[in-house]
Amino acid sequence: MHIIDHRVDVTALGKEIASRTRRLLDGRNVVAVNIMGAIGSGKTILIEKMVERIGETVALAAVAGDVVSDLDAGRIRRTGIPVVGVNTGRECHLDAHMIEHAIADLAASRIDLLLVENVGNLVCPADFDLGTHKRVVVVSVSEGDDIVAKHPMIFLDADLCIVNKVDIAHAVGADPRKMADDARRINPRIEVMLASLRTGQGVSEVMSWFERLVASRRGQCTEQEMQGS
Amino acid sequence: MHELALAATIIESALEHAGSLARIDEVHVSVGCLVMASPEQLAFGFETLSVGTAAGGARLIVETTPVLARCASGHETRAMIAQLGMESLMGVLECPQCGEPADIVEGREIVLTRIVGEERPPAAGRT
Repeated sequence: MHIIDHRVDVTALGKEIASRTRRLLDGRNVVAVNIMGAIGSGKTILIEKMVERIGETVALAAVAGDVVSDLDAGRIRRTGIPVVGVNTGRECHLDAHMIEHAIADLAASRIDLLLVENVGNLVCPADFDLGTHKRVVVVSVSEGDDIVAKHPMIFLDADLCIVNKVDIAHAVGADPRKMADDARRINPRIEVMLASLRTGQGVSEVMSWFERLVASRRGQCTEQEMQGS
Repeated sequence: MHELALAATIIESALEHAGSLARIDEVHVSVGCLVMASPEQLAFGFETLSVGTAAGGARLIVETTPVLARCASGHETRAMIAQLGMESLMGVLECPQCGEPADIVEGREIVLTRIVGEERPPAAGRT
């Protein structure tokens, strides 16, 4: 019998690919956002609304993760922005390797903001860095107002939480403020916005968040260019 | 729920770091208690995916490790969290000493710690 003792980070390869992807995106001045949330929470409609509201001024592209179908990618494709559909097969999440390939497929497009729609799931995506710059979680009141408390891990590293479908909160007996409070307690750095992506309530605020993100990236680039000149 | 993917990366790492072992009998990993994976399903995934490799038939031994959190004042909390619900997590995310928010320092990693197996037999001389 022979024993070899190690201290090897098993997830190192995934982390390395994620860092490589971030550097690649930085080199192309693309800011990328990982959009996570349960099935039916409103991830795809968020992208549709973004194309409608800020698509004129911000060059958008998307990666749509789905277990087997192409339905989400199809919905986004109809908005006219470049999109790559990623079928994860049996997997319940996207990983950095899949994103690296998807980005290669988008090499010909000019992109300011890349929207990565993760597989509908509030558990597994929390464990995977995709190489994006920011993480957004979309939750909806119809999932019950204890949904945040039930899945705290996904909020730990998130930058923005959108509590969606607030227009039907009363009908489903959910308190959106409880959801917002829970998210802020888990992660004091998170920004929380109450919205109804379908009716338009709160959508301007959500759009501003993304516009600010792109503007800050452009600002950084200008700064670098000025320093370089 | 993504134990199969994690098991595959554990097998890859074990094969890569097996050195001169011709056969692997045990693979030890420590898994932070905040990783969203169950040890039983990891072991099942390992058993299934290792077939046909040098780790085929080997046992995966999972040690669950505690979370370490540190607040801005430097207070450290170490705790084993079995149920990843909000209330149990808040026990480390809100510093028990000063109540300030704390950051997770450890508890989300998967580390390969030991490989046990049989050495490759000495190469036979050419005839």
